[in-house]
Amino acid sequence: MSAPGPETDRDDAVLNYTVRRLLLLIPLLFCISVMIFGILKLTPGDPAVVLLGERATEETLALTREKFALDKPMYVQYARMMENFFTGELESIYYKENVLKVVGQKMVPTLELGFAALFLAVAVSIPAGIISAVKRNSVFDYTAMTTALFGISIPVFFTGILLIYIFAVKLRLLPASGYGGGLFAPGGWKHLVMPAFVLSFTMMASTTRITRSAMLDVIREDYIRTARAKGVKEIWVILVHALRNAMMPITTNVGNQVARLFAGAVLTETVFAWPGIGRLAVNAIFRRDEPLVFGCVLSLCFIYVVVNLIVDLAYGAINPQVRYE
Amino acid sequence: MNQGKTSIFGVKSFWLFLASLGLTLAVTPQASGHWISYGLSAGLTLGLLLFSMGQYRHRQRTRGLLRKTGRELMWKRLFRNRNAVAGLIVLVILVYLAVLAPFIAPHDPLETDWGALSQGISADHWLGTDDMGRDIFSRNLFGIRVALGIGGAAVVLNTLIGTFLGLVAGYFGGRADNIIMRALEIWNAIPFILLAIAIMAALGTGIGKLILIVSLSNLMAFARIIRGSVMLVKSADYISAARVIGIPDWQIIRRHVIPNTISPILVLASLTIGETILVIAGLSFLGLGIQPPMPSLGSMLSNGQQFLHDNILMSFVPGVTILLIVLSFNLLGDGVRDALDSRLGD
Amino acid sequence: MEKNIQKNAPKNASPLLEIRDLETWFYTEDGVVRGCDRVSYRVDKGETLAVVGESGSGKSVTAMSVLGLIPDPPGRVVGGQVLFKGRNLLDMDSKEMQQIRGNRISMIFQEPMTSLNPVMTVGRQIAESLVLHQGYSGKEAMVKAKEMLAMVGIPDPDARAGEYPYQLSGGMRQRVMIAIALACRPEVLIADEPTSALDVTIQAQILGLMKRLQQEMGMAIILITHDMGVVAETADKVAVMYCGRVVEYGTAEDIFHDPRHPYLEGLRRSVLDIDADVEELYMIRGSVPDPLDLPRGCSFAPRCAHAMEICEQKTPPAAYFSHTHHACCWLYREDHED
Repeated sequence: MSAPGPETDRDDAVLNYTVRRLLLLIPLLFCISVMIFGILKLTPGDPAVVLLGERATEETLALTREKFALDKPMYVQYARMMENFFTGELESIYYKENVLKVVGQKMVPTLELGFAALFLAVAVSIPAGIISAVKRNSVFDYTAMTTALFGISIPVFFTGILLIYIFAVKLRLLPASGYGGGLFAPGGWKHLVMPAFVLSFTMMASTTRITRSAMLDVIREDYIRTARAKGVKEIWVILVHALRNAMMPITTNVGNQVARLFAGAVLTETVFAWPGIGRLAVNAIFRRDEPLVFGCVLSLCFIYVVVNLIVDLAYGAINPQVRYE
Repeated sequence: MNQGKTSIFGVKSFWLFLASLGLTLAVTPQASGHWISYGLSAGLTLGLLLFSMGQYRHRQRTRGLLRKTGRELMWKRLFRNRNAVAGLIVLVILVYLAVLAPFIAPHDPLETDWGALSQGISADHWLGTDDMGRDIFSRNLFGIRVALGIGGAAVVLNTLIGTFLGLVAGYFGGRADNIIMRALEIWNAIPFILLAIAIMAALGTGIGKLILIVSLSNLMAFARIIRGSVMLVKSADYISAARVIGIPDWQIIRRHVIPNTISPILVLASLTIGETILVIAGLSFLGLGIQPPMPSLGSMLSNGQQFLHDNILMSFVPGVTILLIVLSFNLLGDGVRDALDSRLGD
Repeated sequence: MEKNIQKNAPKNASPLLEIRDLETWFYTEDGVVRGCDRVSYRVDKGETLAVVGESGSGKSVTAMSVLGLIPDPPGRVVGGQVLFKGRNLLDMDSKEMQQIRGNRISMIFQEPMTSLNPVMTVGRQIAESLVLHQGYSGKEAMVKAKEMLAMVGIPDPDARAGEYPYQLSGGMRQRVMIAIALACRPEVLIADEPTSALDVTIQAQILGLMKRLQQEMGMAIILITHDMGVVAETADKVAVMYCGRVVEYGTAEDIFHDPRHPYLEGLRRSVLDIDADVEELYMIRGSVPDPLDLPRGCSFAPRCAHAMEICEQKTPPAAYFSHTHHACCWLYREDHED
């Protein structure tokens, strides 16, 4: 009776696949780090000065050249850079602190903002897209589609500025900027509301459009007719039979939108003075703090790659035709 | 059906040409000093004339034919789509505002009027002035010019590079394909904004670098589409036949591959341009894009945010302008996609 | 015999399923299409009714109207009755209708490749209607689903139940569709071209399976097809449709040996008869009229060899030849001179 059926076989395959994908992250992250290292090496001038800043003394410069093997070939330099990065020897010029530590501190607000936005976008857009598709050409549909069209056309920072003007300057309901100690601090959510909405708006709009068109495509399929002929309730037809199929293009789109979410996060953090890693990276460029840029970009890439992996696995969970070989 | 006689006045682009000619002639007296803008306007006019003549000749040749070509059907469908037409009209107006900016702008965009700092709407300053007394309307006009110019250049470059990579990968296959596609995959595994940040941290900012960086943002999508259709065409029998009789590769590509891939490229390019303009505006907002004092919509907004309490016009005008540009590109892009997609279904 | 035509109209016994003057219209951009136009037919317990006609003749539209599956917009049932055991299905609200669908009247479709949900295991798709209509628990339904798979002749049903449609061949999928339709032991099975998309050998297997299950369960089958060979093999009664109307209705015997309507005459002659010395396939002259622009009188008149003046003026009413056999043609009506 409890012989391994096809379901358990598949579970094993999924586990295998997940582990393999996780292992594949290592070469991918390696390539990414090489690429970023290569890009930063394009900086003209003395690399020691680049790493330490203009005001470094000749003595410390010599020390840095030694530490980062700057007179050695590129691959040695790369190995030394990575070693220093992971052991915490790589220091931010501006903060005079370990890059990993600085990045770690700013990571929490960014993740908070990012996940709030992601959650908000998905929670609003999928129901909105479904209703739009089911009640096609209704007032709701037109309103949602017009809003979505504006959503994909408006710059993130303009949405932010408009909201600040309305809710902070005019109505004085919400704080114009700042962190406020996070979601769990008293009143912290008030600080989070506007940035999270602003960041999610583009993704919300795009996912609503995709959900609507995917649902419209699926509803026309023969198997939806079969479900109806079986006597399945209409709401069940939509939510179970149609939505699960529509989730495939929707998931792909959410994956694509995550990259845009990163760009949006940098802009949103700037507009709302949110002490996150995006703003840290931009400031690091202006301060010519190259070690910090390296740290920020590499850690953000890491998050991005992991999020993408999660999206891929979710896609595999929805689509039985994905083969785990 | 094209029945009866065709007249040059039946060609819509001819009317556009007449309007463009009128505008160019109207600004001729002030042409000195703004030769680039004047030349652009004249060039645009000439282009419209050639285009409408071409349309006219095409109509004369196909007069009486009942069947319409795919391209004619596409245009017909596009013009029946009200949203797309609205987008197109706004875009044409924006392009002319951009090209003729120096003639239309009532003030120099860099001129500071210390007697009129941060003012509201007035007869002298139609949309008010900013914190340094510069005319917002004039700055906005030049901002449109910069946005359309850089955005357009970046998308063209993006399309060319992506198409080239896709052609090479698809046509030669094997190792070339493997290397190109793997490299693009890694390139895609880094969110574009981070690449831009890294490159600008290393090389600093500048218009040339900005265009180059932005044009590398969307390679994967183009390369994939082209590669797919190249591979499809390559497996067709007539290509093997062409190879057997010794037609060179580049000619096969030109004759068979390019015509087959032109419409998906067109759709993708028209859907990309709005986003590209948003990216450029975003980078400018961060201070990484177009550098002051050159007027750009993104940096105008970033400046405006500091004066939200005093003068909302400083933020509102450039914000709405970006929205309008991107919205019309998106409307047009959606229209082109629908017009071409349904052709595939015919 | 011709004089008894009016008296032979059917006596009003209550059949299992009866369609009376059903009208389904489609409101398209270019105008109204009468998908089915005053269609009537009936089917009794244990009986097979074949509905034949060219594509676009309204066979499927009628069947979909029975179960209320016409997509609205653009389609709508505008008139007539669908009586199931004396109750009009068209008067039922959606909740009552869901109780009927898949439970007492089931339907299988033409395209087995696309008619199964790609993201659900076939076991679950069968179990779903059992849970829905018969109050089974999930586990019980799954056991029963496997029984159904065995019954429709799928080998190794325990393993197959956990598979997804893409893992099955077309014939297998149609068997699964039959299993879904029959899971709740319906009283009527509507099969819309169940074998058209399949290979000839598989066709015969599927038809045989349906026949066997009909004998076991005693249900009525409405078989929609354009294949006269299939009709000859399976049908007890036949309804012939043309341009949204039933033009002739009778037992299989009547239709094959005593066809009356000129359309049928052509149709019968166009089936290759091996015994007869036919050199060429018989072709009905002309083509099916544009559904947006049907003739005012009989739709077949423009193609009919026997067309009279009245055929172009008025739609012909039914002429009855026996209790079971009638045709809608002016040739058999004496009242057209009035």
